[in-house]
Amino acid sequence: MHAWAGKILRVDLSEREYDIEDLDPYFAKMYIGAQGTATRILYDEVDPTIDALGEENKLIFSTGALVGTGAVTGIRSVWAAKSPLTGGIAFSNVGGYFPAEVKFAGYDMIIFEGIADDPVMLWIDDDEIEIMDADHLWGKDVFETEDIIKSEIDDPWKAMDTRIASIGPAGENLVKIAAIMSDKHRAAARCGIGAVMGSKNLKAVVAHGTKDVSVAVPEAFNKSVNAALGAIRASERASKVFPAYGSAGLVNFYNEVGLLPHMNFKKMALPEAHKISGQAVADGYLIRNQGCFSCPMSCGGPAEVKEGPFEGVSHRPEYETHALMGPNCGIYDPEALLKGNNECNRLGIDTMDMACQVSCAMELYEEGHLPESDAGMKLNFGNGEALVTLIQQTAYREGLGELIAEGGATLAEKYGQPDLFIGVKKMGYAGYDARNAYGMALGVVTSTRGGCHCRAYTLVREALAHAFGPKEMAVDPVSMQGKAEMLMMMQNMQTALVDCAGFCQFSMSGQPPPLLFPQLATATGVNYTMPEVVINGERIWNLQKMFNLKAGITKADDVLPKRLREEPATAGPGKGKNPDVETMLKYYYMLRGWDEEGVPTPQKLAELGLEGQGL
Amino acid sequence: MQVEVKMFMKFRKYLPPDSKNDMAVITLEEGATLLDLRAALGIPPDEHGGTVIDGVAYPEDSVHKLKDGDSVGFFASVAGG
Ligand code: SF4
Repeated sequence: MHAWAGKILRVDLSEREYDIEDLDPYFAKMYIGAQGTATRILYDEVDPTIDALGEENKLIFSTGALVGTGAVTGIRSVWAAKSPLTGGIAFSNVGGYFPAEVKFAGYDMIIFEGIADDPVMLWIDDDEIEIMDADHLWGKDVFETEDIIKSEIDDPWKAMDTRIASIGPAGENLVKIAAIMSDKHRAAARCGIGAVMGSKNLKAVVAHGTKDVSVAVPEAFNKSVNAALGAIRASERASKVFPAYGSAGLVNFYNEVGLLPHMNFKKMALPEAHKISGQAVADGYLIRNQGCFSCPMSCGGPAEVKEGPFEGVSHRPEYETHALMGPNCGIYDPEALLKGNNECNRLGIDTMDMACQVSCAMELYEEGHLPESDAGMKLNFGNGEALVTLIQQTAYREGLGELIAEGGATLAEKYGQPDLFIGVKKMGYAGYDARNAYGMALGVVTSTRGGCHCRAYTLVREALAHAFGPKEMAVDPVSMQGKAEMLMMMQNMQTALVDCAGFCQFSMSGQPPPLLFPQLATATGVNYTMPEVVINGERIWNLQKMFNLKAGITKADDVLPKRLREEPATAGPGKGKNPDVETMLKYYYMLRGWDEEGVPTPQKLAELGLEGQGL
Repeated sequence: MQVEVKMFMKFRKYLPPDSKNDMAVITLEEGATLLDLRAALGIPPDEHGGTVIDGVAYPEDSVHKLKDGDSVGFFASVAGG
């Protein structure tokens, strides 16, 4: 096989044993990699009704097909399982360097089964695999864990090339919004995936590999890589603006068009946003750029607060963290944001869900539902110290953190206001106000993993194209017309051609799909056509939907938060209105070949080669 | 008529001297378009980027007519998500 390493490492934590299996070439062709291959294995091997934190759940690390090939941004991979947060399928995308080391060691996937009786870590050094005690690491934060593991490697060069994925105290304490972190600041954040790792008593996975990853048609592959690099270099957006400001370069623009949420989605388009924009962080705090393996765009990097209560070196946050931890918590101080981001990374918590819980707590407090005596502090919007304290409490399940750790509306319900938790399927809502982009509203509601924006980035057409082109791509953000078709196409295409292949979604601003496809085809040597790849995406989407339906997630869960349904937009193109997601949803189900309840019909499943997989 | 401009990223260098908080108020003839505003600010045609006028995004070459009191933001081409 080319591009794929051709091997799956299966680890039985209960028995402390492992096995190496072959990756079936036909399976690889159909499910490509990352969330695709992981979805099919979860679907076949994990009963969707089990306890996500019990012995029967499986935790899968699955690399994108192109990881390690040198494809442009070919690094993105997923951690997958049944989600303890949503109860449905979980897959959390991550880059950095860890996925490349796993591939260089010779594995496309690692499947963890069972539960270790004591804390362990998995050590992979090419063909040498060891399940080792990790008692000495249990209780340590993510940064300490990586430092200790690296200090135990004698050869300093090897230590540098060794990459680590681990959980912090949040994952250990089964916090349902915990992340799996790698390379210290790269997060597989969403779906509570860190709690699954914690439930297995698995503290860390350490990887070091030296094998080559081959490509099928080297000359054609190099040509396709050079074409993509050339396009990125020629694009001011991808080669200058994005590295300069990261994805948080969007903050000011989205604020102006009413997409940036403020104060738990109560307000929009407030002038204070500029104080906490990507520009503000780049100007005042960024030390240098740092990127993932095989990426010329380098959107991350260390950022330093030199003095004051939030002093310390952090990592530049991306847009979602900016939006949700900043303006959506009424916080316009970049130093509080940098500290909050760093605490989440250090303790292993999803910044997005954490921030959604904090903004909810702040509104509960300001509206008089959550008394100061319960919180043990003032929880007013804008209170950066409170943000940091709540993050720490959540990791250790102390104080309000005990409620926040359960995720979803648990905290809001306790204080009698479930609708003040802004989320979908118990997952905190992404940082885009649905009232100013109806395609994105439908996208977040139909995402198979919860309130997530990144299964189809409709804002490329609903907002960015209007200002930055191409003009012919621009669609009316607050019309329902054509949104279901556009969304479905993007979901299928992005799932297969971007996510499963292992490309970074951010790179699409410089290398659009016609430049991605040749890299996939020439590296794998699979005689794909573009439509075939898109159908693979549709098949994967339908399997994820079936997993969720079997887990008990239904049409009743495909619903926009009440505030976004009922309180009209106060600014932007949608001013005075709300999206009618219910109407768009009916059409979306029909286009997908699903019945009125959103269940894939037997005909649709058969068409996708999934006969007999119905409810 | 007068419009308020907000300049972001590379467009900050076109702010009139003594501007505060990356903002300025510019006086234009009645009926002026976005292109006229770009010219008044001295933004050359090859300095590309997008614009938001009162919450709605427009391309840089839009002939959209401005009105008194409009708020106009200039942005370099952003990406991500
Ligand atoms: S654009 Fe950013 S997140 Fe994506 S691969 Fe490059 S450095 Fe990593």
